[in-house]
Amino acid sequence: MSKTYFIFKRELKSLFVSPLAYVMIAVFLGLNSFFYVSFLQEASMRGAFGMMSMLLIFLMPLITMRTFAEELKSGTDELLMTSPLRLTHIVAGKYLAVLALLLTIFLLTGQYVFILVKYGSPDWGPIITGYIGLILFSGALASLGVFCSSLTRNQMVAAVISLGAGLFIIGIELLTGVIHGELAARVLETLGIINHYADFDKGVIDSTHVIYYLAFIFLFLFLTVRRLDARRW
Amino acid sequence: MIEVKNVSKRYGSLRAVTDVSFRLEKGEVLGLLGPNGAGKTTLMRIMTGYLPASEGVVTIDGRNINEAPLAVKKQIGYLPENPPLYGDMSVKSYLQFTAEIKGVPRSQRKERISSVIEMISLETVAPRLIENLSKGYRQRVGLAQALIHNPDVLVLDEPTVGLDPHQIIEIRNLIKNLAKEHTIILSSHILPEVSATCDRVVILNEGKVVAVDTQQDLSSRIQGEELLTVEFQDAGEEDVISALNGMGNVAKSTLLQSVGGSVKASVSSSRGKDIRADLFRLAVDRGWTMLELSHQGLSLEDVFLKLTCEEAQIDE
Repeated sequence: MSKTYFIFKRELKSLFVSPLAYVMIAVFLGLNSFFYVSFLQEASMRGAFGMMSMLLIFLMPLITMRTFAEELKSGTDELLMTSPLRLTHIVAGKYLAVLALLLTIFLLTGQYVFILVKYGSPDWGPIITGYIGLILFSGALASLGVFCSSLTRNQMVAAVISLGAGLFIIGIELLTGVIHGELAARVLETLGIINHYADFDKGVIDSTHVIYYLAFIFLFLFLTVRRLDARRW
Repeated sequence: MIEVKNVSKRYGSLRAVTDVSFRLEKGEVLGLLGPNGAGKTTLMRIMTGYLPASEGVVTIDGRNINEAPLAVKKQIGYLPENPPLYGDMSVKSYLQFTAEIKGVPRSQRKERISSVIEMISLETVAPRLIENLSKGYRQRVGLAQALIHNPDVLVLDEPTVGLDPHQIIEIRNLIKNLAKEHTIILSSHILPEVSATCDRVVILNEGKVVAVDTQQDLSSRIQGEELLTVEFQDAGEEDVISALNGMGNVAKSTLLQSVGGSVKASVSSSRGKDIRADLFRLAVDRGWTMLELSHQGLSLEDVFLKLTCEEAQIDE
């Protein structure tokens, strides 16, 4: 546990030492505020959550691209791999650091909620579940990005792969146009990462969706560990 | 202490290391010597657990690194050829991080960090960012990282490569000091490097052990056969070569060049014999004027060539 924390601490520091984190936060909040103000019609966060999840699809690859690609390129993976650490410590520590950055960003979007409360009387349910959904959704995208970063030592390649993979898993439902049959349709619908998000936005927490996101995260972190182990052979 | 037993490593069809075995006792300094691409780095990566061996085992104090990786890795300090540094960290926070992940207990971290900083003379750069340090300092920070958890075994991959002569001497002295308390394996493709610091040398070529020798044996093996260059005036090519080959204690002579009546040849003497006086007498007897008589010694390349040739002959 403490070993995961050491990795987490270093990773988070290095995220916040580079200008990347700040630029990311600024762009994210700037664009969000712009759209938020433009589309604000009722005292709810629905539009804002939709906007945030869409932006995250494009920003996440940029946040996660360096996690492993940079270590592989600079050779610092040799330090980590020859230290008394398990791969799970390393992957978990790095993943949690990305999550911490995301939580920081979401915390800053609290200003929208503040405005809603100040000038209206929003329904708290959908706001809280919306945030839970947003965290799970972005956590899933982050695990995908971390996995893609372990595939290559080139950060740009990692970012492009993870953007492509992210868009694919979002659009996977469109395959129902090609693959027919009720079963196929249900499977594809279940796999699509966006479908599981809708209920959270409405104020409902359905365990199916929570399990989907957690399984997604676990799967890609597991694949990252396997990938890093396989690199050695 | 450390035993490398029949270790092989294949990358696809490429054999990087083939059936390498050697032992290392506590307190010994072992040099891995070989030309670039001989498999030194691969072997060190296997010994430190970065890569698994395709065949064979590495044990430290009888424990296999693949079976008890966490315990064994705690005993090893590793400086890769390219020091694994995070440019965005200061030297001090980097050492703090490495102390943490290498399992230095919290209560000892502060003391370990300052003692390593002092040992490697990093005081002046401790607060600076690693990316702003010179190559020499980076190498030293890499070494500090390898020492931070006070490991029993130090594995140093080309510790002096890219340093200036002054820094090389510093690092060598440091290694000699460390040898009092640690078992050290270092690699190099430079012979004087190894002879300056190591008790024993394993010579690798194309992934195979070509020779395992103590330092004295290696030196005599290399110096035993002396290579001389000699130039005579007013002599014929064939006369010179046949006269040289006719001398006692000459292993081989070859014509280097022949311009306007002056003939230049290289002569290698038999093991341990000095033939310089004989060469002078030969010139006097034949009435040749000696223009040059110089000592070439054997370059490391020649040693490798020689050792690998010997090996090839045995194989046949």
